[in-house]
Amino acid sequence: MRDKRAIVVCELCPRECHLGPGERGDCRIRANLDGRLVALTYGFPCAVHVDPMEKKPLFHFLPGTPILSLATAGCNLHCKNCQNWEISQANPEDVDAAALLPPAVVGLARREGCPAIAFTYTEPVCWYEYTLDTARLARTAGVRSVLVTAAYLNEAPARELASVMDAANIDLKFMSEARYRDVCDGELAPILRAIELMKSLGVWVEVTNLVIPTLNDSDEDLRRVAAWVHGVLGPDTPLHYSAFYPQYRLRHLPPTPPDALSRAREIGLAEGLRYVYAGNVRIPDGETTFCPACRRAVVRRFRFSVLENRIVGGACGYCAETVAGVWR
Amino acid sequence: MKRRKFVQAAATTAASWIWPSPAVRWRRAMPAGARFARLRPTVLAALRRPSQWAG
Repeated sequence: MRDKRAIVVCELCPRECHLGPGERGDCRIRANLDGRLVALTYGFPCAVHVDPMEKKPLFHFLPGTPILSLATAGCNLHCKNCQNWEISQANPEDVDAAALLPPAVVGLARREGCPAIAFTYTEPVCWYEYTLDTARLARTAGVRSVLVTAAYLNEAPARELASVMDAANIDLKFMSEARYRDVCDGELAPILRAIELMKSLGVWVEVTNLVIPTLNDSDEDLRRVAAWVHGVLGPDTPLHYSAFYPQYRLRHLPPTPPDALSRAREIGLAEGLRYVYAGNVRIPDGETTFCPACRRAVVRRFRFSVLENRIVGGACGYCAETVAGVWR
Repeated sequence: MKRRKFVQAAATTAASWIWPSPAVRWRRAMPAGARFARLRPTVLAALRRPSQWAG
């Protein structure tokens, strides 16, 4: 039987794990050590890379620039389709890692010529203290911070993170509580609240929806995502419909057909969103930004490269209409 | 002869060594109480390679 006096409650995410002495939370990386809640992976990223900004994906934030991207082990969701399950669903002692404290991360970003740092690959919300300290330090050094997250966290930490983040790509996986429970072992409502909060606190937000055959690829599913983004975050919020490939525990499902992604993009545009993209698959103009006024292509991309950028001072280079985003 | 060559090589490279070595700095930076079985400071070597991870 556990000693109740020694239990520590982690209030970071809606799970609110009650940790007995020596126990770890659902994320595997937050532990009760001697009555203190310890972030085990603080300063120990297991992945550090210089990626293109378009890979996050962020299409309206410093296009064509490199971004120092890092992750530690750990995630508070357990999505059956996880593409990075080897690190997200791993114990910290089971993955290789480097010692890289926040000043070293910021120094590395500057050395590699990266104007921004991404907290990505796994769930940066779980390695909250590391993310927060690094982003704070980055801001003082003139380096921007990007969160790539599923946003399954409580309001207070979401507010604090938003205060140091410049941009976020947030995964909105389903518009159904039941699906979130079944596929991700999570909840929809706190995620919607966190996304809305980040947007309202001035973080540049782009939303990604992974389109998984049979799970969320019906017209109604696709429409509900677009309608929520349009209604709550606004028509200028970029929405990325992304193709699924059989992964982890959903290997029995087929990849998303390109036609489904084209249909998703049309549905998003029909809902009134100005910037809807189809990613992870080659579709003509699926990753092109069009001016909302003159409809001409202002940013053309191929995979993770920017082929052409006609944005001038945050506006269309042809008709001077403002194109929402953080362009420099 | 072989021995002398080795000594010369060591003397040449010693000046460029970082001290303490990354491995030592990594061990010192480990949080107290955490148990890491096989962490190695190899990740940075892959820094400029395209990431295999999504996101």
